[in-house]
Amino acid sequence: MSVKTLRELAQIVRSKNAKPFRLTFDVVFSDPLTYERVKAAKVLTREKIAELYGVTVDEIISVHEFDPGLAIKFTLRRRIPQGHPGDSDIYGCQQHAPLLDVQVPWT
Amino acid sequence: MTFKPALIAVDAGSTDPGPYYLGTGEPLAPRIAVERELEQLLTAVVAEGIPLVVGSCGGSGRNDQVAWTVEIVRDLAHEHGWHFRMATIEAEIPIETVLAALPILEGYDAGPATHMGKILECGAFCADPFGMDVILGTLDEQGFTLEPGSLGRRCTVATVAGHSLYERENPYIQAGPGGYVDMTGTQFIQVDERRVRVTGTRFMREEPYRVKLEGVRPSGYRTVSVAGVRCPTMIERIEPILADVRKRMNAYFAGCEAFNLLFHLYGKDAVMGPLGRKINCLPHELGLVTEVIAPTQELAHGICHITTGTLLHYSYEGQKNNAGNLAFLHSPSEIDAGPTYVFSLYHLMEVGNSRALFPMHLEEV
Repeated sequence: MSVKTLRELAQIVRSKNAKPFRLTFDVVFSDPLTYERVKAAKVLTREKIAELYGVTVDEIISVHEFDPGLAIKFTLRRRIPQGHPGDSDIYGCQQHAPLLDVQVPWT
Repeated sequence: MTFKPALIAVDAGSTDPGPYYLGTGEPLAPRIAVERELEQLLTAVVAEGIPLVVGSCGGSGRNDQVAWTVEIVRDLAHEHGWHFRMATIEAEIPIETVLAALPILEGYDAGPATHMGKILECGAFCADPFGMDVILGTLDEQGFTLEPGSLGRRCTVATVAGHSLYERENPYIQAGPGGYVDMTGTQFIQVDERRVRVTGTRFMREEPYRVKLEGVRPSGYRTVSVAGVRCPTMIERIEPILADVRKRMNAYFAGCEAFNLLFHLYGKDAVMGPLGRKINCLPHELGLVTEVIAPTQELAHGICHITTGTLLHYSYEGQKNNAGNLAFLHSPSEIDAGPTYVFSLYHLMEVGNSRALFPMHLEEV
């Protein structure tokens, strides 16, 4: 079975602060068919997100499949709040990179 | 302006740049940029006789940042011979509320008005291709229609619906002053190539009335030092070396007030810090930012200096170069970055009288 990555399939893959204590991640698709196929493949479950980001399931605040926007979205509790000592990304906009390599079974 | 808008509203604030601007009161944008943009905006609204709304003036909407912006407006009015009535509202108040305020005051449903405000606050971010310029929202009895100001952009169902995702945890429910916006029944319709119509958004009022409260507190003073490492013998051992230097610094400054010593290794795991999985490959070059936060600037500077000095002349097994381990970027190699702040408060607060919190002043300019 061949695979495709989210980098190939999604139109937008991004991370951003959702206020100072949370990071939110959006994977947005440009056509309904691709969105539905990725959704059905269950590649962004709580367990898979936890593994990808090295966090516990408890640190994942929510996972949403947002049909009107053709998007899968999840939100993590920030281990270090925005701007606290040790924070490495004030806008939270460079935390999306591991998502680009997520593989989706594609035949 | 060919769209004949009923008002122009802009968002001058954000928590994106971090807690510093709310902490110090320093404006986020340089005066020259704020002058230039307010001059363009005021020229347009004065000619049309419509209101201009600026939210979270100066970056955080602190009273001194509001006063700074008001001063710029007065100067511009004087220079151009403009006369108008200006209202200033002190306190931090979310921009979507400000954008929705006039329509709600004129009797429009708070659901579509607030939803529209939430989208408009980011300008043409809800268009394709996205941009930071203007978007026109037209409100009616049942909903609203969006159209980009620039002819090079278009709104699509996906870009407008997708905006509900941006910078928030829940795409369906969004809390605001006095209640929340419910988008579970929202419909997005492509009207034509460039316009999208949105209906069905509801505003659910909650009692007691609650408003968002943001707060920061001072957390010390920062000194940073930027250096590069190119020697492969050092790059191979960088983690144990930094751990040992940290141990030595804790011993050296044991009698001092508590401090934070941070190493940011650009080229390894600096960007994702605690979130990323470690990737085991050796870069050919590393960027090292040494950062110290301490109760005084003097102590932060001292700790940073001794730390990078120790690292500069650190000796380790396999070392071929004994002249120095760091390629410093600057002289002096430490930069004192001033006071630091952290977000200490970010929640919804119950209030009896919401208006008493936000005093308004009217003046004739």
